[in-house]
This record gives sequence, C-alpha cells and structure tokens, in this order.
Amino acid sequence: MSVEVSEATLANIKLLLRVTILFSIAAAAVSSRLFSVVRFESIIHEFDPWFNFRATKYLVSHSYYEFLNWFDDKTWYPLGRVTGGTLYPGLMVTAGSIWHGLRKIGLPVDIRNICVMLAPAFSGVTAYFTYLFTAEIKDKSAGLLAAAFMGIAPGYISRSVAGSYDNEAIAITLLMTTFYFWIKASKEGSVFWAAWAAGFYFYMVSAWGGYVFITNLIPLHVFILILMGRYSHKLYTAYSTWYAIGTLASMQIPFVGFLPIRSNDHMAALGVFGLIQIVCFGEYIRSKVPSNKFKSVLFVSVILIILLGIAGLVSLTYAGLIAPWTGRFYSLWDTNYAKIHIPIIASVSEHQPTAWPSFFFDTQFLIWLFPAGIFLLFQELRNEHIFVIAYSVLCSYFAGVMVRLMLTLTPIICVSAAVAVSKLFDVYLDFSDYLKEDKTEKPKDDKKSIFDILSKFAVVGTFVFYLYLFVFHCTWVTSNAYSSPSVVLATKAPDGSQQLIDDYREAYYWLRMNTPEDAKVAAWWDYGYQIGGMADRTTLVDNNTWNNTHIATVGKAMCSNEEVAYKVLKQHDVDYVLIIFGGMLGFSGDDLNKFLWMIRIAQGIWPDEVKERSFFTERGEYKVGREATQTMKDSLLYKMSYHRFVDVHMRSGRPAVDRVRSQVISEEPELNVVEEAFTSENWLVRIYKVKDLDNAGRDLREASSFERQAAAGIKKRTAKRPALDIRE
Amino acid sequence: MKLLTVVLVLYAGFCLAITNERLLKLQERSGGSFIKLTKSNFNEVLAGPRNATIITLLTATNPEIGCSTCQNIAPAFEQLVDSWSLDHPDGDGLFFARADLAEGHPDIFQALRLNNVPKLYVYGPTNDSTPLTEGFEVWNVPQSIDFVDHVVATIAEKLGKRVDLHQPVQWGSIAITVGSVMLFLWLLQNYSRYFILLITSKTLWGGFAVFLILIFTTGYMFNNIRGMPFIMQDDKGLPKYFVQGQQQQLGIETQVISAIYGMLALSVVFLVIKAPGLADARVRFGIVLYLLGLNIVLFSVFLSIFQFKSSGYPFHLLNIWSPK
Amino acid sequence: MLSLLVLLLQVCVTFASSLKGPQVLFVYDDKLSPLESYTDIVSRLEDDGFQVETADAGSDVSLQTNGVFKYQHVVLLPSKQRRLGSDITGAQLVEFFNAGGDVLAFTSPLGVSEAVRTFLNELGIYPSPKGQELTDHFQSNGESGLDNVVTVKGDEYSLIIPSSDSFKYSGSAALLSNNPQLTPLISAPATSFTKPSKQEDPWTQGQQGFLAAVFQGLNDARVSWVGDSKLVSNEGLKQVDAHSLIQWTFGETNVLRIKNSSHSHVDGTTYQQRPYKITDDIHYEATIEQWNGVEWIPFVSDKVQLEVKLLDPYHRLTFTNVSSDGVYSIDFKLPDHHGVFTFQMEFKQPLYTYLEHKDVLSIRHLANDEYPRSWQITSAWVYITSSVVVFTAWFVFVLAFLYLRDETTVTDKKEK
Repeated sequence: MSVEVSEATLANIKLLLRVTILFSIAAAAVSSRLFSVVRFESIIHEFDPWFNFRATKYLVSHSYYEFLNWFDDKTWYPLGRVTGGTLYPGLMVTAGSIWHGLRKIGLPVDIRNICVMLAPAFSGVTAYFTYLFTAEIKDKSAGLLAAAFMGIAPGYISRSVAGSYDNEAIAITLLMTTFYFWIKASKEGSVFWAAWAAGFYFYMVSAWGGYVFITNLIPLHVFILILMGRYSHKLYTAYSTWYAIGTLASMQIPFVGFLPIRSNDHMAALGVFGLIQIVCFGEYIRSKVPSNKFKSVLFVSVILIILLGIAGLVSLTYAGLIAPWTGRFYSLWDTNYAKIHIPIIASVSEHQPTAWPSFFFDTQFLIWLFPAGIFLLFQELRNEHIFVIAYSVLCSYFAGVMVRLMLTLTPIICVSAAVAVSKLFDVYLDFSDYLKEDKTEKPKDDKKSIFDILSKFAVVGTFVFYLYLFVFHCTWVTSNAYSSPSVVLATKAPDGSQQLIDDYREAYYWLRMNTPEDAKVAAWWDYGYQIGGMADRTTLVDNNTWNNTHIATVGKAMCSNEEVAYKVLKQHDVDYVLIIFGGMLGFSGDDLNKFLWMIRIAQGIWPDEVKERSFFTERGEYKVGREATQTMKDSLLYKMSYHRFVDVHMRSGRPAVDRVRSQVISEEPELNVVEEAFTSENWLVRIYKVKDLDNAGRDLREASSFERQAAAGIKKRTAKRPALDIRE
Repeated sequence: MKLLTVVLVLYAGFCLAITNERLLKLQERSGGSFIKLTKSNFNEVLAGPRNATIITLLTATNPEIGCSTCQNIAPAFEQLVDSWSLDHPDGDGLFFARADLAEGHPDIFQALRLNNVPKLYVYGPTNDSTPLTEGFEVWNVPQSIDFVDHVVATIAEKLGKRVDLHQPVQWGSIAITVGSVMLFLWLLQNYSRYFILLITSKTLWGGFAVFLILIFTTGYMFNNIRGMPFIMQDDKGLPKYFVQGQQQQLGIETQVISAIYGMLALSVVFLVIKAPGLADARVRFGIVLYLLGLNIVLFSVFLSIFQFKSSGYPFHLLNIWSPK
Repeated sequence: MLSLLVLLLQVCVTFASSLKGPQVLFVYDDKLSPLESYTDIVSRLEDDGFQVETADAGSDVSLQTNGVFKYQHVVLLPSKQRRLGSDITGAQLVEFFNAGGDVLAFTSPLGVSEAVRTFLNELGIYPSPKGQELTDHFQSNGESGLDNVVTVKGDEYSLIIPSSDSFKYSGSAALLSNNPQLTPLISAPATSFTKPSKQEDPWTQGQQGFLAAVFQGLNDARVSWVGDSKLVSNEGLKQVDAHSLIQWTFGETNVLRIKNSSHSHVDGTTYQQRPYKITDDIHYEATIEQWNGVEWIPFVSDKVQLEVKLLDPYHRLTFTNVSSDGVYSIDFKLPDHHGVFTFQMEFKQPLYTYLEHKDVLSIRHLANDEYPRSWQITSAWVYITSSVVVFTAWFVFVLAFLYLRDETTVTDKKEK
C-alpha cells in the first residue's frame, strides 16, 4: 500500500494541481460573464461604458498626448468638456495598449470587442490576485477557495460582465493587487514589494475614483498597528516607500493633480506618514536612551501631535487652504447630506442605501461565513489579519450606505469566507490519520472512532453541498439579473415568448442617419453618453455630471412652460429634444418618473421660477392626467410625453391609460414650440425637433394656432380692433 | 402682499372677532407658546372673524400612524413657537396652533376632511365668520430638517414678520455629557488595570467587529437613511415582520436576519474551534451533529425568508418555516 | 443658330432685376380698382423685366399649381369681392410669404378683402375696416367733401417720396404692432382719425394710425402695405413716384449678402491647420455685397458687428476697418475661457436684408505642454532652490551616514 513519494514530487503535484485549479477558476470566471454576449451580441452596456468606449476610440485613433489634451466639443454644449483632464485614463489606456499589442503580433481585433471582453478577462486576473492575497492571510488552500468565490460571486460579476466596460472592471483587480503587494511589503518590510504596491496604486488612481478607499485603508491599517504597539521597522519601510512613491505617482494623473496634498480625503494618509516618522524617531531615541520616563514622555507627545495635527487640519480647512471633503465622500458619513444639498448625487440609483436581500443576492452563503471568518481571524490576529478586519468593518458600513460600494465589499467577503471554509475543512477534511499506517498501535483513545468519521463526513458533505448550491445561485443570478445590456430590453410577450425591445438603438440610429452632423440634442443627463456613443451627436449634458447648473438648465427646459422652455432651448442652440416615455409600454424608468429630480435640480438653481410644490396636487400627490396640476400640464416634458397619446388610443378604441402611472390621460396637450420628429416602435424614445423662430416674428403659439385654425377651415370673420401696446 | 393689506384694513376696522387677548389666554391655558387645539376650542379659534394670523400645524405624532415627517418636525415646530413667543409675549398678531392626533380629538381632522398629515394651514385675519374649512392658505411642509428655515422664510415672505430663532440650551444633555466624562475619567483613574484588560481583549474586539459587520450587512443603514418603520400591520391588524421586495425591508428584519447570520456564523466558529477540542468522542459527535443541524435548519429558514422577499428565487433547502 | 441667339436675347431681356425671379401676379378688381387705371405701373414692371400676369379678383386665378407657387411676387389692389381668386386665403398668403414670396398689398376704405386682412394681421398690420376712412377736419378747414384728402409727409427712407416732400393721401389707416421686423413708413397726421360710417369707434386716432408700412420676414421675403392704391394708379404715378417702393418690395434694392467670410490666426494659419486655443489672436474677414439690379457691388457700412459668444457675448465688436471694395476685417484676442464659441457676424438694419453669419468653433484649453515651465516663473525660484538644497543635503547626509559612521564606531572601540 505504501508508495513512497518524495517531497519534491509531492510539491510538484501540488503545484500542478494549483495551476490547473487556478486556470479552471479563471476560465469559469470568464465564461460565466459571457451570458450577455451569447444572448444579445457583443455590445457595450448601460451608460458610462458608452463614454469609455467613445474615449477609447478617440485614444486609438489619436496619439496619447492628443488624448491627454482632448477638448471634447461634442458634449456639454456649448461649454465643452476638458475630457482629457477630467477622466481616469487607466481603463482606456489599458484597452488601447491591448489593441496596439495585438496589432503588433498580427491580430488586428476590433476595438469594440476588446472593450467588451476587457472586464471578463480582468476578472480572471482578479481571481489570481485574490488567491495570492488570501494565501498571505492564511494559506494556499484558502487562497484557492477565495479565488473560486471571487471568480463567480455575483457582487463582482454585476460590474464586470462582458460589455460592462467601466472603470470598476479593472479597478477591483487593481484593488486586490495593491492590497496583495501591500500585505507582502508590510510583512517583509521590503522596499521592492512596497514599490510594487505603489505602482499598482498609481494604476488604480489612473483607473477609478474609488482609489480613495486604498488611500485611507492602508494608513488606517498602519495607524491601528501603531496604536496596538506593533510598530516595526518593516512597517516603517513599507509605508514610507508606498506613500512617497504612490503619492508622487498619483499626482501625475491630471484629474487628480494636487488633490493628494489639498483634499481632506487624502489627509489621513499624509497624517499617518507624519506620525510614522515621529514614531520612528521616538523608537530611535528610545533605543539610545533606555529609561522608563521616556515612555510617558513619548505617549504625551504623540497625543499632543495628534491633537495639533487635527487642529491644524481644521484651521487649514477653514482658511480654505485645504479643500473640504468632496460631496460624494461626505454623503457617506452624513447620510442626509446628499438628500438635502446635492440632489444630483441623491438622484442616482447607485447611491441608494442597500437593503439586506441585496447582500445575500450578491454573495449568497458567503455573507454569513463572512463574520465567522472575521471572528476566526481574531484568534490569530497577525498584522495582515488586522488589515482584513479593518477593511471588512469599514467597507460593510460603506456598502450599507451605497449600493455601488457592494463591489468593494465583495472581495473581502470572499477572502474571509474562504478563511472560514478553509479552517473548517482543515479540521474536517483531514483524513490523514486514517490513511497513515499504524505505526504506533492505538496511541490515544479514540481519535479514529467511527463517530469522528461520521461527523467529518456530515460536516464536509453539508458544506460541499452548500458550495454546490452557491455555484447554482451565482449562475442563476448572473444569468437573470446581471446580463442585460440595458440598451436592449427583454420582456415576455403575452404568449410567453421572449421579446426584445430595441427602441433605444432604433432612436439613436435614427438620430445618426437623419439629423445634421452638428445637431445639438437635449436630453436628460442619463442618456448623454449613449447619444454621444451611439448617435454621435452633440449633447448638452451627460453622465459626467460636472456642471450642476447646466444640468439644471435642461431640467428647467423640461419643467417650464413652452414659452420659457423655448427661450432656454434656443439660447443653447438645441435642435432636437429626446425624451424617454414608458407610458405606452409600461417601462417605469422613464423621464416622467425622473421628472421630480429634474424639478428639484432646477429648483436648486432657480428657486423663484421652478417650484416643486406646484407639480403636486392639493393632496400632495404626483398625478398626470386630469388631476394633474396646471404647471404639470404646461410643462414641456409632460406635453412631449403625451403628444398624440390620446389620439392614438382613440383610433384603436382603447382607453388612453398610462401604463406606468396607471392613470387615464383625457386631453391631448397642445404642442407649439417643438414638433414631433421621431417616435420609436414602442414609444419608448420620442424625439422632437425644436421649431425655428417664426418667419413673421410671431410667437410660436400664435403661429401654430393660426395654422391649426387655417387647417380646420376656420376664418376670422370679424374685424375687431386689436389691443396693442403703444408703439415704441 | 395682498395678505398684508388685508391685515392693515382689518386693524383699522375693529369688529366682533376672537380677540388677541382671548387667543393669548387660550395659549396660556395650553401651557406653552402655542394653542393646543381641542374638541372644545378649535371652532372658536379657527372660525372667523379674527384679528390675528394663526399658523396651524395639523400633525399626528403617534407611532402607530407611522408618520415619520410628523415626528421629525415636532421638535422643530416647538423651537419655532418658543422663539416667537419669547420675543413677542403679546403674540404680535401671529399665533401658532397645533392639533396633534396623538392628543385625541379626531374631530378637527374630520371637520377638515384631512386624510394626510402633516399640514400647515394658515388662517389670516378676516372680518367674516368663515367656517374653519375655508379662508386658509396651505403652506408647504418640507420633508426634511430644514422645516424651521423654510417656515421662517415663508413667514417673512408672506406675512412680513421676522422670526429670530433661539436655540434652546440643552442643559440636560450638557449635564449628562459632563457627568459621564467625569465618571469615565474616574473609572479610568481607579480601575485602569481592568480598563487595559478590556481594551486589549481580543474576544471583545472580535465580538464588536462581528457585531458591526452583522448589522451593516443586514440593512441597518438602510433603515436609518430611509426611516423605515420597525414593524407593520397587515389588513387584519396582525403584525407583519417582512415586506416583499428586494429593495425593501422593515426595521425588525435587520434584527431577525442579523440574529440568523450570527447563529450561522457561530455554529461554524464552534465547529472549527470548540468541537474538535472536546475529549469524549460521543459528546464530540453529538455536538458536531447539533451544530450542523442548527446550521442546516437556520439556513433553510433563511432561504425561505429570502424566497418570500424576492419572488422567483428558485433555490431552497428544507421547508421548515416561511413567512406567510 | 439665329433662333438660339434670339432665345438668348430674350433670356437677357426677361431676366428681371430681382434675384428671386420674374413672375408677378397682379390682382385687380374690376369694380373697385379696374385694370385700365393701372396700366402704367404694369408696363413699368414689365420694363424692369418682370413677367406680369394680371387677373381679376373674381377670376379663378390661383397662386399654386400642383402645390408649387407659380409667382415670386404678388400685387394685390383693393377688392370688394368676397373671395380672392379661386383659393387665395390669408393662410395661403402667409404660406407664400414663408416660402419667400413678396407681397405688395393695398387696401382702401371701400374694400379690404378677407384674405389680405388676415394676412396683414399676422404680420402685425391692422388696416382699418371697410368704411373707415382717414379724415382730417383741420386740414380741410371745415370744407366738407374734401376732408378725406389729407396732405401727409413722405417717409424717411424715400421709398414713396422723401420726407421733405408731402403728398395728397386718401385711403385707410392701420394700427401697427411692435414687431421689430415691421417698419412704419408714413404715420397719419396728428389731427387726423379714421371716420367710421356707422356707430363705431374710430379705428385710429392721430399718430396712432399709419398709412404705409413695410415688413421683412426672416427669410428676406418682403411685404409692403399702403392704404391708398391711387399711389400706383396711372393718375397717382404723376403725383408720386412709388417706383422705389416696388423695387424694394420685389427685392431689387437693399439686397445684401455676405461673401467669403473667413477667419484664421493673425499669422494666417487656418483653424483646420491649427485649432484655436484660449487667448489666441484671431483675424476675421468677410465681404458684404449689395445687389444693384444688375450685379453685386461692394457695400460699405459702419454698423456691421461681430459677436464672439458662448451663451453670452464675450466680445461685441464693430467692424471699423472697411475697405472700399466691401471687405470687413478685424483682429481680436479670444477670451481666456475654453468652450464652443460662436463667431456671429451681424447686420440687421431696417429695410436691409438681415445678414447673419455663424461659425461654431471650439476653443480648447492649454495643452499640458503649453504652460510656462517652472523656471520661467520667477516666484517659483524659491521652491526650486529649496528642493535643490534638500536634495543636496540628503545626498550629503547619506554619504556622511554611510562613510562616517564606521569611523566613529572604530574610534569608540578604540576608546574602550
């Protein structure tokens, strides 16, 4: 029975197994993200990816320097956007380099396919770095489990399916990479690894605004270690190197610029950098002057320094030398802040708090293994464990406040759940006692009793079944919830068959083919990137919500009466207005349902002209149809939404019911300043052309009422003396 | 502006009205800086004619109504009226009144045919004896914390009166803060040994971290931000612990789910740490089976709850219990 | 060959002095304004190269065939008839006008046809209704029968007669709206009013009333209205030469165009070669020409402006440098603000073609290598010096740390 296997062979077999498993995990990670490509086609998803795609196309057709200095005159008309200086170029540069690299080796791949496939490809890399990270935390078997979890956890898949070409697609990979190198650096006190951590930190900064999370988490780790009295020269070397190189490098990104020394978001890192110098100096002094008194002196001076630092920070902020926290960051702490002060942030669905089912939906049983893993880590509490714990607690809070930060929580859930499962398996999957030849006849009492075997089988069986269920859960969630491109909607027809609603692309294509190339399209900012990407037309506002006033301008045009709206539209040279209307189809995410945000944002800038209150009925309800307030009925968006709505229903003999708001529309609104140019098949997208000024100088309401009367055959018979103003 | 002229005209022509003195008396009787509307006095106060402007807040702070706005603006309203009456002991032609459903007297609400609160009805001065269902202006009640600023601004704009807000000094909380700091310092001084033991305890910190994680991952912040009710009633008046929908939850769900998570995690922790250390094989086997059984049962229940929350979720374990 | 020459000659002759085309419809009313009294003006139009088609208002003449307008210009004499041609309505006249057609319309107290009134009302001209005639008792000194002949002054643009002269006017008056495209020519005397025949209020009183007005659409179609058609009758032409009114209305005079507008860097590099960035110096140049009935000649004015705007104008410059051949040029500095700017050249004066030319250009920010280098900024020298000092000090320190320490330890040991 006993076959002698040498240690080296065993190690080789282990290595082979590990490599095979890791490759399988990467393959599983990539292939589970391909549902959308298989079902629909190789297409860019959602909103932001369309901008990233457009920017990437610009990058590959121009030089890098042109990209860096890109002034985009097709968005935010007429302000334009200094795009090169206001984006995180990491994603585009990554895709661009891959494109160039493939061309160099004779594989000219369409840039769109690279963009579509970038996120799945990077998810494989993420799995590998999760493996390395977890291997540092516990051991390699836990690493393999963590990698497998990370590969298929829906919380990460939600932002990295094929086509979801967004910053997060590579940012999570970089997050794990930076953390891995940081753990490595702090463990070994190595300048080499710290420099790697800084390098990947730089890459992260270039790719995603969420880098601030790293900027604060690593100092927090160091700070906690110092407080726990675990300061060491290794820590000093690692942190100083990382901070110095990382900060200098991050300042090379134009969008970041001087933020690392000016913004409060980054002050913790700077403060800890200062602190660790002082602590190091203190250690040095102590090693030279061994005395008990020194300890208390040190303690007092550290406290003093911290207090001074905080006081200095506060006073500098008040003096305006340091920029206060950015709105998005602030809204994480004071959860009411955004609701009151920044409606534009509060209006984004990604910035809503998370209810508990979402956590389970995104991580399944890992969510309850997560606290178990954390508790188990407390048993050992090595330096790197403290990092994991700090990360977990902080990020649990963030994910609870904002749905989108679920993404940053998922990796640590996978890691600590893997630690828990692996510890469990260490105990219950260990059958080595039974396989060993009995060298010492029954050494102890009943280590190998039948009960133990049974309990081992029971525990292992249960958890293997859980893992099995987990795989099914992940596949099901990915397939059902996270694989829709949201540019194409899928619904069930009454007969149960799948029906694709392709109105968006139909409308964007119409714009591309039927409007002049320099036409300006006004639409709510959600659709800005898509119009730019798919229709290639100039937009007024888009998803890069950098100018609140400009967004409010569009909001004002939508919620004002025709006369005011026309002035606004003309001042901005608008040729077409695009709206989303779901009342015909029953699509609830349409502009009328977003209307309140438009009103609120406009009211923030023009409180005298736009009043939210006047859109609500006496009883405080948001109504369309007969009960709608006059302001509501007069608003341009309302009129554009229900233009011809009653008429079409009358012809087919159905009642004119808005299928989203379940209210009957009784009267046809009168539209004067714009005319319908295009309405998509399911009425989801409606495009209106802004009329020219009247040739005879009349206001457009008079002009079109004259035309209507003429068409109806009504002639003015009476010559009544007009009431005119005195001639100037 | 129009209102202002009406005020002036009315001051000129004095008539048979509810006098400001009477209003002051009612206010004193209500024991504060505003008039509490009751069954007996609401008609007298709100039906004309009158000389003063009466800003009336119609609200319902009783918890079973679940009007979070009402509860949020209650202290703000008190701050506002206290500030006004401090500067204007004679009322100065502006009185505040409040009808709270929590104090009984549903008659007022029935008379006004109100079916949602909070409302701000402003009864201006008038010569006629108008019924209380007429002759008022409805002011907007902002949802959030800027209630006071909004009402002050509206008073300035529509009535031309300036309200200087006085922050009430919170002696109670200052005393508590000072006291607890003193106590803490005293404890630190005398029992520093235990204190150090406490802050260096791994288990304590571990428990604390796990506790935080548990409540954060079960929607504690969601409840906080959205102001979700703790529990709801269904049509039959029975308590409802769970609401359907993945983006919805009640306050109690956080507690139930975090308890389930906690026990699931605990069963794993015990399986890893405690069970293998037990000496007797049979006891060990029993404990392992017990922990495992607990784990399976809890997870099954949990999956049923989740299935209830998000309809269409296909996976479940044992069918033990599910809401509904 | 000969026939071809004849044809060519004919083309030359029939080539009207209006750029729009030669087709004129001349609508008269046998009962009120018979064609015999207007033969002179018709022949003068024909002399100008127009092809005039005359038609009675009661006939079934139509402006369109198969939905296309047949004429470029229409003259409408006062008419008593209820209808105008077969289908000419106010709405159709508006459509004709919007399609670029010119209209010369006359009304009289005896006849304002429905179509003409509706059309004029849309432009903001409200002629007095049937029966209300301009009357001035002061001028006639009480002599009845003559108080409807009012002596009025000419217009400041000399379209009818110069303002220094005056002429006899008998006809209707109109109220005018404040439409900026409407230019009143002759206002009624202060002592006049429109005298109603029945129990009505007078339509206009004093200088509230106007006797002639011109209107220009945004598409440069022109409309003239005069309340007295006798101005163009055989008789009236002897008193007043209304020829210039017709020439203006039919686009023979005051027609301008912008030609060869261009812009570039001051050194001549174009936008295409090197796109503009903030604070660049730009040279803008354009030619304005005027139609004199035969050819385009240079047009010189000191009222032409150039706006550089992004939502609001950042510059509003008047062209002062105008050469005699109509070339307008100007140099200016772009604002220190990036964005998509519109260069808008404008000339909008009464009676002249509205000139507007827009160039939409993006003006970019400074690129990363276009800022001055650190050593070029004198106030940065302090920082540069300090960093160099720190570098040097650090280097020296490292050297000292590495090479001096050993010696000290050695000496320490020696001392021990």
